[in-house]
Amino acid sequence: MLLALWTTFPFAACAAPFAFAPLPMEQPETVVKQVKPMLAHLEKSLGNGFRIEFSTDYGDILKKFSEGKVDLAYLGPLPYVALKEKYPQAVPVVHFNEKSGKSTYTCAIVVAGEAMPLSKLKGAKIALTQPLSTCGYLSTDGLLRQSGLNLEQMKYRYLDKHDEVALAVTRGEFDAGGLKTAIGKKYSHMGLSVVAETQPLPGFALIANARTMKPEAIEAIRKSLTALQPLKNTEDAEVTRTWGDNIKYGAVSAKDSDYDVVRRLRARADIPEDGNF
Amino acid sequence: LRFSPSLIIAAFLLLESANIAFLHHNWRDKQEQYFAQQAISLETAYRSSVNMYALATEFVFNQVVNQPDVIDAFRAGINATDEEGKGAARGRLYRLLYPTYSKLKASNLRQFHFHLANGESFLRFHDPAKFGDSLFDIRPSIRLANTLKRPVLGFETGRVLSGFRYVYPIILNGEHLGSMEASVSFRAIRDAMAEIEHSREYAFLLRRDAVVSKLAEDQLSLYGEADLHTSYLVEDPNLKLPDSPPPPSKTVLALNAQLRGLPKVIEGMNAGRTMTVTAELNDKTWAATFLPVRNVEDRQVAYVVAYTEAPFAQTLWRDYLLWLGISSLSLLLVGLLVWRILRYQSELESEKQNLQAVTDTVADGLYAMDETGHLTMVNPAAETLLGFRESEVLGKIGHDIFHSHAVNNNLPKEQCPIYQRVTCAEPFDGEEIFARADGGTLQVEVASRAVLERDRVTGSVTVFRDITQRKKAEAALNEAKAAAETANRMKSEFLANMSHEIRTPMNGIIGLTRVALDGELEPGQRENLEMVSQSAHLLMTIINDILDFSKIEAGHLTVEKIPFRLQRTLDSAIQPLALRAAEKGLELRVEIDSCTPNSLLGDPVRLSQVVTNLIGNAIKFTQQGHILLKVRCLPDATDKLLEFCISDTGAGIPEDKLDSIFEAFSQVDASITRRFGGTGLGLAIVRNLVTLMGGTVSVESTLGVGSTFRFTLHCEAVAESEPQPHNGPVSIKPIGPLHLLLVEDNAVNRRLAVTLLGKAGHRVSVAEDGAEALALLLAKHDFDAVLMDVQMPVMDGMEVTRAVRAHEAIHHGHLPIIAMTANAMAGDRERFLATGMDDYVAKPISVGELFAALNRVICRD
Repeated sequence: MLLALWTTFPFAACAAPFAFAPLPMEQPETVVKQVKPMLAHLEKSLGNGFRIEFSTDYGDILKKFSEGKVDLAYLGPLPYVALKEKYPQAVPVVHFNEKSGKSTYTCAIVVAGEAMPLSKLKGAKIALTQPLSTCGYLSTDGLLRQSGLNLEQMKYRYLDKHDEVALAVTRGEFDAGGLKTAIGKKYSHMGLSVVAETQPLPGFALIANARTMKPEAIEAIRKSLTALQPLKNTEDAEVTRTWGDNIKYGAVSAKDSDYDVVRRLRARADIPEDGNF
Repeated sequence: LRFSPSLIIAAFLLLESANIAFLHHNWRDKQEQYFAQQAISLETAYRSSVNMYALATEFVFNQVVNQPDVIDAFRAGINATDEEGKGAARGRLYRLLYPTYSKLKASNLRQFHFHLANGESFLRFHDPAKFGDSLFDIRPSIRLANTLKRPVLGFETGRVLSGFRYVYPIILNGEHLGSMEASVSFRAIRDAMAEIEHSREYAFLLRRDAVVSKLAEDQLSLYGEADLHTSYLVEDPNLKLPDSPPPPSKTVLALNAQLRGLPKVIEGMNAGRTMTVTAELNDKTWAATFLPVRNVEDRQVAYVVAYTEAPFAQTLWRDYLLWLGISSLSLLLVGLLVWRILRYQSELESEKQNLQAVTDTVADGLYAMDETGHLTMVNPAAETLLGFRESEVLGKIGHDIFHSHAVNNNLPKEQCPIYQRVTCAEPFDGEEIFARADGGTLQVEVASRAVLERDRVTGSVTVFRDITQRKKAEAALNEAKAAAETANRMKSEFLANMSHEIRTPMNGIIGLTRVALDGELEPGQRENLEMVSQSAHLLMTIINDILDFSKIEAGHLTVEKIPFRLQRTLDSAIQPLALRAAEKGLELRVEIDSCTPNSLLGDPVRLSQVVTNLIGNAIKFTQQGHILLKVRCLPDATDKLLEFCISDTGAGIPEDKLDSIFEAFSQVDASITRRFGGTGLGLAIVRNLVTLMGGTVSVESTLGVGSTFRFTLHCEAVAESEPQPHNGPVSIKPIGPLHLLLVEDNAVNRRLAVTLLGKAGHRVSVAEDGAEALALLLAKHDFDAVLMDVQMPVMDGMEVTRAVRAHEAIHHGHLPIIAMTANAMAGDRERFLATGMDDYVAKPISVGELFAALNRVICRD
C-alpha cells in the first residue's frame, strides 16, 4: 500500500520544496491566505512542496530569481519583460483569467465627455495609476506615442487606483487618464469616453525558473492549472473557491511571445516613479 | 410573654426582612430615578446630535443642492433620452457637487446620493460606479420621501452599511424630480454626542435581523457580533472603513464582559427597552445606559449604549449598605434586648413557679404580708392549718384574722410581737397561738422575717408550724421522765433497803457462826459450822456483786482518790485467796516490779475488788498449776500507768467467747455456772471498775493452756510519808476494858455484838432503839463509846447522834459514836459522819473492822 502511494507520486515530497515568490510588499497573512490553497493544489499534482519566499520589492524578486533562489514567481507583464531581458531562463507558465474569463485585457486613455483625437491632448494633465502598472505609464505612454506624443510632453500624476483615475477625469481634475479599459467603461454612465485602446495584453502570470526547475515540473504546473475551468465547471470552482481573487478564475498556458505587445509599448526601460507636476 | 428563642429569632428575621426590603426598595427607587436621568441625558444628547445633522444636511440641501445649476444638471440627467446625455449630466452633477461632498465627507458624511422619483439610484457620490438600482424596497426613507414628498429623517440599515439618513425630495416648480440623501455614520452622531457630553463613551449596536434582511451578499463580513447580545451586531469592528468610530476602550470591553449575559441586559435588549445597568470596575461603579434607536418606520433596530462612571450610583449603594448596616444593627440590639428581657422574665417566672411549688408543697404554713400587715400570699399548708381560703384573706390584715383572738385578749396589731419585730427589720422566732377559721386555736412555732428593699421594710414573710402534737409529746415525755425518775428512786431505795435487810440477818449468821466456831465443838459440828460460815461468806460475795452491779448500772458507783500502799492492799486482797488456792493445791504468786511505786493515789478498795475478782476466777477455773499476779509500771507521759497481769494455767477460754466475756451475765457457757457457780457478773464489774478508774482490761487465752487477764490503772504516785488513814496498819492497841453502849434493834445482832465485845473484855450496855439509847446517854455519862445502829424504830441512829452532839455543844465533851449499820450503800458513810458520828462499820460486822474502828475513835479522843 505504501509502495503504491510512492509510485502514485513520482515527485516525492523528499525533494527540497520549491521557492515561490508572491507579489512584493504584500502582507504575509494575505499572501498565505490567497496563495497557499493554490500551492497546496499544485503540491498534490507535483509531489513536491513549496515554500514562500517573501521579498520587499520587484528588484529583490528579480535578483533572487537570477540567483536561482526563487523557482516560481507571480509576476505582472512589466516585471517579467524586465526579468526576461536579464535572465532568459525565466519561463512563463500560465496566465490567470480575469473574472470575465479573459486571460488578456486592454488599457485605455479616457476623457470626460465625448471622445476626441489624442492629438488634442498635447500639454494636457494626465491621471495615471501606478508606475509599474501595465495600464499606467507604459500603456499610456505607448498609446500617446502612437499619435506622435509622449507622456513627458504632458503633465502626469499617479493616482494609484484605476477608479480614482476615472473619477478624477470625470470631475475634470485631469484632462485624460490612463487605466484599464474595463474600468474606464464602468464610468461611461458618468460621461467618460475611451479615446485610445491597446491590443490585448497578457495578465499576471506564473513564471518558472527553468534553471532550477525541471521541464516536467513546469509542465506539471501548467497542466494542473490549465485543467481547472472554474468559470465553467462547478467542481473546479469549488477547488479554487478559497484562492485569491486574482488567481481563482482559471488560467491559460503562457508563452514568451504573449509579451511582445508589451515590448512594443515599452519605449523605455526606466519608468518614472513619480508624476511630473 | 413566654420566652421563646425561635419566636424572637423569627420576629427578628421578619423585621430584618422588612427592613431590607424597605431599604432595598428605597435604594432601587433612587437608583431608577438616577438611571432615568442618565437615560434622559443620553436621549437628549442623541436627539440633539441627530437634529444637528438634520440642520446641517437641510442647509446643504437648501444652499448647495437646491440651486439652479445643480437642479439643472439633475433634471438634464433625468430628461436625457440617450445614455451619453445621461452620462454627461450625471458627470456634471458629480463635478458640481464633488467639492461639497468632499467637505461633508470630512464631517463624517457617509453617503451622498441622488435618486430618481421612482426610487432608482441616480448618482452615488460615495460609490459612483453603482447606479440604476431600485431602492424603494430596501430603503423606506427614500420611498417615503419620494411618495410623501417630504423630508424623511432617521436611522436606517442598508445594503452595505447603516446610517442616519436625511432624505430630501427635489421638487422644481411642482415637478418631482427625485430626492437627495445625505447619510452620516454613527461615528458622526457619536462625535456630536461627545461634543455635548464628553465624559461618556458610546457604542452603537444593530439588530441582527434588521441588518441581515437588507444586506447585500458577502457584506456580513463587515459586521461583528456585539459583545453584549448575540442578536446584535456592531458595524466594522475591524475598522476597514475610514468613518468607523474608534474601537471600544479597554474599560468598555471590561464592562461588556461583565454585562454580557446579564438577564436584565438580554431581556431589556430583546424588548427594546431603555435601561441603565451598572457594573463594578477598578473599584468604581460604571453605568451603561441603553437607548433604543428606531428606524424611519418606527421599528427599534439599534441601540446607542453610553458608558459612564456613575459615582452617584456608588454613593446610593453605599448609603443603602450604610443604612442597612445601621438599621440591622439597631434591630439586632433591640432583638437582643427583647431576648434578654424575655429570658429574664421567663427565668423570673420559672423561679416564681419553683418558689410557688416550694411554698405549695411545704408542710409548714407560709404567708407574706406587705409593710402594713396586709396579706399578699398564703400557701396551701397555711390554708389547711388555719382553715381559711387564700382568696378570703388576701388583702386583709393577717394579724386581725388569725392572731387576734380570745386567748391573747384580742391583741391589737400594733402590740403583736411578730409585727413589732419585723416592722423594725428584726427577725421573730417564737411560739404563738393562731386562731383557726372554725374558731379553734392552733399552737404554732413562728419564724417571721422582714422583706427589705434598699434597707426599707416592704413586707414580711412568715412561716409557722403546728406544734400541738409536739407539745403533747413533750408533756408526755416529761411525765414519763418524772415517772422514770420516781421509779428509779424507788429502785434505789429498794436496793438500799434490800441491802440493809439482807445484811442485818447475814450479820447475825456470819458473826454468830464465828462465835460458835470459836467455842468448843465436836469435830462434826465444827465441820458443819465451817460450811455454814463459808456459805454465808459466799452469799455475801454474791449479794455484794449484785449490789455493785446495780450501782454500776444506775451510775451510782464512784471511785475514790485517796493515798494507799500498793503492797499492802494487794497482800490483804490476796491473803484469803491464797488460802483458797492452797486448798486446791495451786501456787499463787505475786511479783511486783521493783520500779513500781508503792505509795499511790487511788481507790484501794476497788483495786482489791478487781484483783480479788480476777484471781478468784483464776482459782475457780484452774485445776492444777499456778496463778501469777504481776504488777509493773508502764512508761507513760502523764502519770503512772500500772499494769496488772493475772495469768493462770487453767482451762482457757474459747476464742469466739473472748469478746463477750466482759459482758454481764456472760460465762463461757451455761455449764460453767452449774460447775463453778458465780453470778456471771464478776468480769462485767471488773471492766466497769477498771474503766471508772481510768484503765482498760483485756484478755488473752489459749484453750487448755491458760488465760491471762491484763488491766491498767492510772495512779498518781505520792510521797511515802503521807498518812494512811484507811486500810492502814490496823495496830490494835490493848484498850479497855471499855464501857460501851450498843444501840441495836435486831436481837440477833445485839446478841452477836454483845458476845463479840464481851469476849474482848468490854462492858456492854444495850438499848433497843434510839429513844432508849438517848435516855441512857442523857442519864449516864460513863460510856466510852457508842455503837449505833442507824435504822431503828422509834428514833434512828442519826437522830440520836444529832441530839447527843447538840447536848455536848451545851455541856461540852465528846462521846465517840460508831455507826454500825447495814446501810452499806455508797454515800451512807459520808451521810453518817456528817451527822456527827465518828466512824463507820458496815454489817455484817467483821470483828477486825469493829475493833479497828473502836481503836481509832478511842485513841483519837
